Amino acid sequence: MMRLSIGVKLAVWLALFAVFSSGLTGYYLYARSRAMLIEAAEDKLLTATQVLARRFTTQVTQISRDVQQTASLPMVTAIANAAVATPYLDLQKQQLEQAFQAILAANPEYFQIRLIGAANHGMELVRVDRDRNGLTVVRQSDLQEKSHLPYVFEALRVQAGSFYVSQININREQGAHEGLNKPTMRIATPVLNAAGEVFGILVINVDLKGIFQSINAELPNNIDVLLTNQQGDYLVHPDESKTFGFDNGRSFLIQHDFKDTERIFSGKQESLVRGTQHGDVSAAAFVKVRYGPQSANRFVLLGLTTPLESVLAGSKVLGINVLRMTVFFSLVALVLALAISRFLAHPLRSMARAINQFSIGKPIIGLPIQRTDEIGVLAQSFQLMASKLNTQMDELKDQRLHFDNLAHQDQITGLPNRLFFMEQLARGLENAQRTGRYLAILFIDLDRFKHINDSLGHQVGDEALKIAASRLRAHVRTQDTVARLGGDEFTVLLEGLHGPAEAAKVGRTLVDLFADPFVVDQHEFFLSCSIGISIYPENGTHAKDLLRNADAAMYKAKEEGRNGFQFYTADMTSESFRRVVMETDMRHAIEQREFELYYQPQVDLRTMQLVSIEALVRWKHPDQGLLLPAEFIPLAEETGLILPLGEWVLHTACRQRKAWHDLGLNPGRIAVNLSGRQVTHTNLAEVVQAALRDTGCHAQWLELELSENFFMKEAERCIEVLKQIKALGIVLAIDDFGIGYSSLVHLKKLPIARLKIDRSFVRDAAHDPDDEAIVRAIIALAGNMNLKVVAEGVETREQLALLTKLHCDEIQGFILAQPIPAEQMTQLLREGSLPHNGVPGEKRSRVLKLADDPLAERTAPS
Amino acid sequence: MRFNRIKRCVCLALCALLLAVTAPAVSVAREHLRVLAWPGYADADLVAQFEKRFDVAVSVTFVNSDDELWAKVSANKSANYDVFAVNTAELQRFIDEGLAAPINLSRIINHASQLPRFRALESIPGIVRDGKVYAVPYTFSEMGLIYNRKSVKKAPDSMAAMWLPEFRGKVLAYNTSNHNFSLTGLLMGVKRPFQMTDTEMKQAAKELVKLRRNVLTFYTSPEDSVRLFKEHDVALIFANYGMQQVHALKAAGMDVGYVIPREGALAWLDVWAVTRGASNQQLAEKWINYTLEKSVSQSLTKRQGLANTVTAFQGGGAESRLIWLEPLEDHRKRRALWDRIMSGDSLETF
Repeated sequence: MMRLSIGVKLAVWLALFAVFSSGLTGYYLYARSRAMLIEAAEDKLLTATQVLARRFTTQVTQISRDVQQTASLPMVTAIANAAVATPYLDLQKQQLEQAFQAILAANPEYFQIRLIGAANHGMELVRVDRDRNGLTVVRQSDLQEKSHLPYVFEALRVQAGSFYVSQININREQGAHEGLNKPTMRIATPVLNAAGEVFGILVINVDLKGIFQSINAELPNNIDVLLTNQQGDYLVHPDESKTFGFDNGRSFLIQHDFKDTERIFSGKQESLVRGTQHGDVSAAAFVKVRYGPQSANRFVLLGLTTPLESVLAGSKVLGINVLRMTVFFSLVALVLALAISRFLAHPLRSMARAINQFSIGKPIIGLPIQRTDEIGVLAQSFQLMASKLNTQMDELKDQRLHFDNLAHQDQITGLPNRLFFMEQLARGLENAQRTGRYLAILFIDLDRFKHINDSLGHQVGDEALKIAASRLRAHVRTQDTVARLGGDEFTVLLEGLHGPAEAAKVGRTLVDLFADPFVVDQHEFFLSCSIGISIYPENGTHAKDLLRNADAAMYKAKEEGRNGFQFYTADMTSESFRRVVMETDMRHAIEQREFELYYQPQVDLRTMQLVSIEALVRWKHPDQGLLLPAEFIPLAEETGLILPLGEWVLHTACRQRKAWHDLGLNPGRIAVNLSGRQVTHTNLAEVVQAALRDTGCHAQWLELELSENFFMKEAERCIEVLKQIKALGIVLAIDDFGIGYSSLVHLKKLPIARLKIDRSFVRDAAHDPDDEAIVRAIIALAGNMNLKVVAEGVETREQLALLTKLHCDEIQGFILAQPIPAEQMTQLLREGSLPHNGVPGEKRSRVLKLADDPLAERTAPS
Repeated sequence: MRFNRIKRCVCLALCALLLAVTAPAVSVAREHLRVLAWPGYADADLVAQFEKRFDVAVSVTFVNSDDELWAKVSANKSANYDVFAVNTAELQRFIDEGLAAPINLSRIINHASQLPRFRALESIPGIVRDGKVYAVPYTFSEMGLIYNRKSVKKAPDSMAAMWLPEFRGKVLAYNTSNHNFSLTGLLMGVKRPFQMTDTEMKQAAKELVKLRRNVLTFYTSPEDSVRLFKEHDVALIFANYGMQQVHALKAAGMDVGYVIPREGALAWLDVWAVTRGASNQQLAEKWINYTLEKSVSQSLTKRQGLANTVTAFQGGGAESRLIWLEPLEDHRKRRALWDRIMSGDSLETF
């Protein structure tokens, strides 16, 4: 079925069209030329007929002239005037006979010339006949009476000087003359005597055939002459039996054969062409030929016919030629159509073949791309498509390889990444298990790398990592794996060891490697490293354990003063592991919104009015549950995570304060703890301003607390910063006051408004007189310095009573309320169950009841 | 859509063609009668009526002369035709040659209603031979004398008037050998004008020369006579074509009279005969019977001016003076003499 496709179809249709069109054209040419040939033949025939007719009338005129000349011969006159028979008359007759003979001799178409008298029943007087042997003068005794014949009695009536032409008929008049039983025309003229009476007639019998033989001598053989009388009876016809039918009692009329000739007989037309009846195979032309005197109104119908066969002989040749040409052109068209179809189909087929054979990755071959037509364009498109396919496939492969590498390779150093390392480790463990050899993991951390990054930029840091990587790579065996786990952490996997000593040797080598300075972009600096080593099978049999233990050992190395290595020992695990995990988790905690603020009120001890609410951070650890600040703040400060965390706390507290305000609640100030690092490592004033701006919180709503501990270390730096803060209109407080060794000088310089007595003094004051003394002293001091005093961690009625007695300003602690989430605090504020309303009563007792919760609370990191 | 129409047209054309091709075959299945007759004897409407009535097919061929009739019937031993019309004189040749078959008169019931003269077949020369009837009369025409009522005051009562000097150059005789001799014989009082002796013939020739000298000319056709009558001063015409000729002259506006001479008028009687080779004689006889129906026979008179054998002859009593043509003693002899007469040979040469 495929073979009957475009090519064959196109060829068939083209060929059909060509054959049909050339056939049609051929047929039209043939038919038209045939019609033109017939028309031309008819025209020619008509012309020939008219020429013939003219010759005929000319002939008749010529004969009539002969008749008249003869009639005017003196012998005729003499005879006409002779009264009686005399020798002179006889002489005249003889002379006339001689004259007749001469005329007959000169005119072979004349049968007979006679002088006929009107008297004696039309007795012939002089008569010369043409007979078989020549000319015969008819004897006196053989002369006949002719008055009963029309040519006699009618010619006698013709005017003198005129002439008479008879109808053409078969001459039945007997005698030796040759005209007997032959078509004859008689032309006569009356002869008058001297008295002017009609004496007789002079008549010449003319052979019709003779006339026609002379006038149609030039006609070609294939043209037939037809002649009829006025009735249409044939006088001349190729079939002689059809002529003079009226004479035989049968009529053959031309009207029967050529119906159109009726129009000539009826006088409607003088000439006619064709006239062929249906089925006839001849062309014909007819002309009405008048002859004789007009008064006689004689005419004959002259016709010429010629078989269409001869006329169309030319058209037959033409037809054959047209047929040949048609066949020829059809064949040419067929060949052309086949060629075109092949021309079209071949490249299409080869294209289909090429595409079928094409497989990705190989070039496509056999396409007809050298062509300049649409097929060529198509082929080129296919080729382009194939090459694009190949290119894309190559790219895909490269990408796959790339992604493969990505999955296993660190992008900065080109070293295997954690994934690859873990795979290697798993494989290495299997080997070690099988071989019984030792395996060691060296966990390498660059010391103070973070400092390089922060001070010289990431690019320099990355370059340093590359240098470190290449140094590590260059100093281990090729079978050992060096990987970068991330950040400034590298691992080295040593396999096939005979004992831990070999690992130690490598550890030492690697530590020494970092003695050389790092040079990056004109920066020269030193980077040492700390290495933790875990050994299989001593320190674990699982990859994860071994890696964790190496990590723990690395921490130990760092604690030991860095720039060294440590083997793992079992006691390292709990703390180190916890730290590692904690640090990692904390990084995620901010993003994962695991931190939350809890709020604890502070009230005026005299009025029991709410003066402020302290925001306390909690970590809802996914694994370890709710963590208090003491459990993660130290680590956060150590790792620097305290900065983003502190910022988040500040923003969140401010936002909450604004929210309460928007709800129509007034919890007083919102107190937020600051870390020392926040003061030293950031532009705190800007940070605070940004927080206020971002949240819409008023400065006077905010109170910042700073631990005495930090303040004492960095007093000078602090004072400037805190002045800026205070300038914003923010209240500052010293937290955990009493446990440090505050310089009163510095304390005086600080722009603070409040002192918060450390909970440890408050806790024991009721029982320990020393502590009571301290609390009393602090309150007195504060009073002298015009600072408000807040007692933290107030839990019992005794404590409360004591603080009241000592005139403490404000209190905070479980006896009032434990720290609660924002929603609960909002609820409490709405209910007005907090003492700020000044109506403690029942509601306060509930608050106090809450304060019975034995949980301890630290409000700030130390 | 258009294709369908073309298809339908082609189908129709094919069907029509099939019909046209098979139509003659169908008609062959019907009985077929082949009639050979003179123009006017078997008009198309009458033929169609016959075909319808008997559920047959009829083909008619017309002849224009006795010779043609003879040629057609005698060809193929008369098997080409079933029935033909012929005059009693000519009929004899066909009987002689065994080309005509006897007719079973009992099947031609309309014969009974023909005029008495035509029922008496024995009295008509040439119809019955050896007791067998060979023909049934159909139509006839007598050859009377036409006269110019303007120039001829008293209607002539004999053909002899044509010889009268008073009518010299005013007579139109007919150019024929047979009847002229018979006519002359009749005037001469010969016993058998159709079988004259040589002496009688010679005498008749002389009389005919005299007639020649008295006539204007001898005409050859009814039209010829009308033309001559118009162009010349004509008093008498020998009516070779009988009433048909009278009608023609009258139709041309001529004031003519017509008489059956007292010596009797020659008359031809055309009869229907059945060919020996007829393929269906009974159907041929049905045809004959059909033409004798009053309506059919009368239409012949109405249309052609020819007398029929069913209704009364308009000559009124002259019917008895008709002398049916009979075979001649020797028509060649008559012809030869007549040719000489026509050629103008003088009286002394006979």
